[in-house]
Amino acid sequence: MDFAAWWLALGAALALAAAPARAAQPGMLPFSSEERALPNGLAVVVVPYESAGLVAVATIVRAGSRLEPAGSPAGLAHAVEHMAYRGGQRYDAAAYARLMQSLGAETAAETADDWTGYFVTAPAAGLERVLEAEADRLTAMAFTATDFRLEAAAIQGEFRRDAADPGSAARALLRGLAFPLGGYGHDPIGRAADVAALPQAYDAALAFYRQWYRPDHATVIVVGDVEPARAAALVERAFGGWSGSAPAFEPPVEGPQSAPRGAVKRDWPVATQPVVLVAWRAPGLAGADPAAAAEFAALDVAVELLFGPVSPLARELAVERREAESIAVELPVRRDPYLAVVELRGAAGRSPGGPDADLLRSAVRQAALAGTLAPADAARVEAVRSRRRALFRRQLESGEGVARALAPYTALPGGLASLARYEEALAAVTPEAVQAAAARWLVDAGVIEVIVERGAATP
Amino acid sequence: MSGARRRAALALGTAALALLAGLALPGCRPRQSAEPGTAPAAAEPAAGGEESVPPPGRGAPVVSIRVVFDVGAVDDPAGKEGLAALTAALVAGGGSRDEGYFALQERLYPIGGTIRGWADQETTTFVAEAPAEHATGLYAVLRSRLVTPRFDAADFERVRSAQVAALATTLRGADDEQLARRVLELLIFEHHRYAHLPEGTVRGLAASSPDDARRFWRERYRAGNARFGVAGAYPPELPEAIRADLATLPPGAPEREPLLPASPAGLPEVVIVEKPSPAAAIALGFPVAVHRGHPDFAALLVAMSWLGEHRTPYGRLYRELREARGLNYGDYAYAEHFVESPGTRFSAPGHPRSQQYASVWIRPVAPANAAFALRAALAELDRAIADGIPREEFERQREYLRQSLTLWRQTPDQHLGRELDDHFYGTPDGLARLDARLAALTPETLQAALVRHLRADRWKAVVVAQDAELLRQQLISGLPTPVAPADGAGPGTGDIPEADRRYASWPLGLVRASVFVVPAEALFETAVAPWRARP
Repeated sequence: MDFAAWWLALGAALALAAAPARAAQPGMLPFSSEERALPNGLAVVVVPYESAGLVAVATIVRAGSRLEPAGSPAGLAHAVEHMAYRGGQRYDAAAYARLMQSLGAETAAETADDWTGYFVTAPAAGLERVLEAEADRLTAMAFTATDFRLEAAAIQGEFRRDAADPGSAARALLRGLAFPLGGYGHDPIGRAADVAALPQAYDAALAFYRQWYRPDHATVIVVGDVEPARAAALVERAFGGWSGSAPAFEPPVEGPQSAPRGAVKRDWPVATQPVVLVAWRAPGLAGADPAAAAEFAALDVAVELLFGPVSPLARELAVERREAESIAVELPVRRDPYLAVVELRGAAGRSPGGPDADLLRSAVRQAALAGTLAPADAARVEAVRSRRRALFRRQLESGEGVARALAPYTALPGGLASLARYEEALAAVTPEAVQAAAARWLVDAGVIEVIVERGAATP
Repeated sequence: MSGARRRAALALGTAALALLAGLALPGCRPRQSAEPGTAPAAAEPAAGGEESVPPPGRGAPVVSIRVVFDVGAVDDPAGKEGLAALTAALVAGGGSRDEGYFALQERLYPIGGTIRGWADQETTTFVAEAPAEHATGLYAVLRSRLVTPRFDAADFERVRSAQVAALATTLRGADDEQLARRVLELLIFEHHRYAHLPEGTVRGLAASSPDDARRFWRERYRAGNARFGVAGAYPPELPEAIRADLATLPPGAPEREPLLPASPAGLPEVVIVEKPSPAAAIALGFPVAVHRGHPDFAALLVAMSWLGEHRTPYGRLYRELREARGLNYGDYAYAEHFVESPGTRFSAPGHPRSQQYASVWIRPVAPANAAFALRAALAELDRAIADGIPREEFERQREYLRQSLTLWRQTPDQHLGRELDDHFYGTPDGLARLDARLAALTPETLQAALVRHLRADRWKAVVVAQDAELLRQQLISGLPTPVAPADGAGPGTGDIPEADRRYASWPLGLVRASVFVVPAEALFETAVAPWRARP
């Protein structure tokens, strides 16, 4: 079956198969969508979506900072992302810019831990040219040493942009403490020393690009006012000649953690509210094993119940006692084991360097302990489930929003099916599973803590 | 059941946008009515169950509700700067007559709903967003907050403490780029009613009370100065429900003294904000007597977009400063007050202003290159005014903007927010009008408009930097400030040495008395500009 015929058949099958399930249970993605591999291994996802004549194209390469080799400056994946704007073989930087300008296109790129994504939104009539240009710059990237040195300087500028933010500093400290060996141990842009060394890392960046920018390591997502079979055929025409295969990758094995790490405290040179991070080691979503998704989903519900915006802890710290200006929790989707992170800002006007930051972190630890003692409240579990679906839905407010919502899942082994797997796991979470996940993961031996504030004792 | 689903699908298939300006109430000040950009929706009622689930293969499954009042920071009482913003934040993030703040948050939680409220200089905006199937539940919370706010003392303290922290720690201490841009607003509008930021001042906030906020709400949130809109896949009865609820607010519109135009920029002035920082963040600009409703707006838009459209690699400043020299992460130019819509190149709606300024944003550079970067931007601005834009580049830039107009309203909320801003400017159907004006521009009419409105030797700038005295010496000495090696970068390409000489020696026209140094901690304390205060 050729690709176009396959799409037509698929669309019909989905229309039949999906309707009853949706009627019973609003899904996270209320659109027909499916993933398909081209002969060269490239995955293609097309989502028809009413968007006033626009189309969003996202190319997600599973080449995030996770894959960066030891011995080279961190930040190679991010540097390659920058080099993509220097163009390819047929479209140099100026020709690429001219094309995108002529379409009035919005272009953006993002380097994450597990993937690097390139996003273009343009009139749907320009889809063929957008795909051609994206394929050219990503599969035949121009990579001169001179351009690389200039781009490395611009990356230093990007690094400077965040240098004034104590929250960025705290998160960077946390990563370093949690993952001393691997690519999760630093923000994708790298640490200050890495960014300073980047101008000399041309060969390493080129090698990174050649190794990991391969068709079996990428997904093209097309969302918008498109006819699916035609869109898929255009992707095949543009990217079909891409060849090669990404090697297998074994992430470095971090040593086991058997005791709390931190609290590491860092002094901040100007007045700031204390930034307090309390994190626990958490499971990744790498395996096709439903048990991994179940564990992830149960822990996700647990941390949301314990530290989320309507948790008893948030009510106590941020509303009633007002010791914290804000409290937020995140269990991000990652391929390998990562972290559940609670981030608090202390209330302004408290004594700098005083005990308040330590009180905040112990309040978080106590709330975690409470979560291990009894099953969660069933109605609250249902509320978290509902919120997860609702927040996913809210991302779907534009074609690019749809592509960005799907991106982290397409980068997991199993691709887009991992979203359905997560959704099923979320639907099946029980109050007992939430308690069990809290007891398994939110333990003292897995905790890592960081405080950044003015007047903090520097270790 | 299946019939209901189909009807819902059809209704949701049309891009849904209802926009209602003013309220058809006795005693209301009539307002110009809108031409809705698209047909209003008539979706099935979201009565729960499968009817409310948007069907596959359709548009955005979300709803946005915006309510705007013509009240803002220009209405702050003297000595209580920030009261408009406090009131907006308290209404959006407080309790209602019947339920406390946290109880309302618990209602928003499972539906993924958010309610935001802020005051700008002349308007106050509330935005409620949620997935479409939760539109009714979302509006119930918005309604209770807007129409029957509680003004609880504890809520007030919580909201005020966040607002003080945003000024006194976040802006002063944690975001140098925004710091430079916001202080530029103060410098440009120093003698105007825009002279304090909408967020207020530390002392003005301290002097405000819950009763002040309640009084401000009662006197100034009126049926006659309100407008609202709904976008996305909303239930058909929602607009009428909002209209009826807003009609319960006091009728008429509060009086406001007309705003005078801002004075044109005089001789150049620079404020250096001194604070520990590894880099120098720069913003420069000047008032312009042109807003979106003005016939010359299209010309300024093309020119500033050509110099540097926000977060795009197409602009001249970006190419010269970032791509060719690696000085920083980006360099952009703006024809009007610009609030970022995070992660995109588009401005966030809900900040319309009758008094405008044009500006250039130079993202942080190495401190040694601050003077060079400022001079380079001024030199490029001068070239644009003096020589205009080469015809081919003009055509390309104009085409780019015309093609972009659809992207400016990609999401239901962007679409709605833009249309409500259009009402402020008195230009309903603003994008179509802008498109027509862009189509009519020529390089010659563009340059004539630039000459009418811009002068490259009349500007204000703000630099956030660590070693202020050294920078002041560089700025007033008149000596060239050549580019320092760009952090390990090798030589670039093209005619950089010649252009470098031009940039490095660009005349700034600054003397010691026109370069002020202020510590970051002195900012935003009162409505008096700290650089005018005598030690």
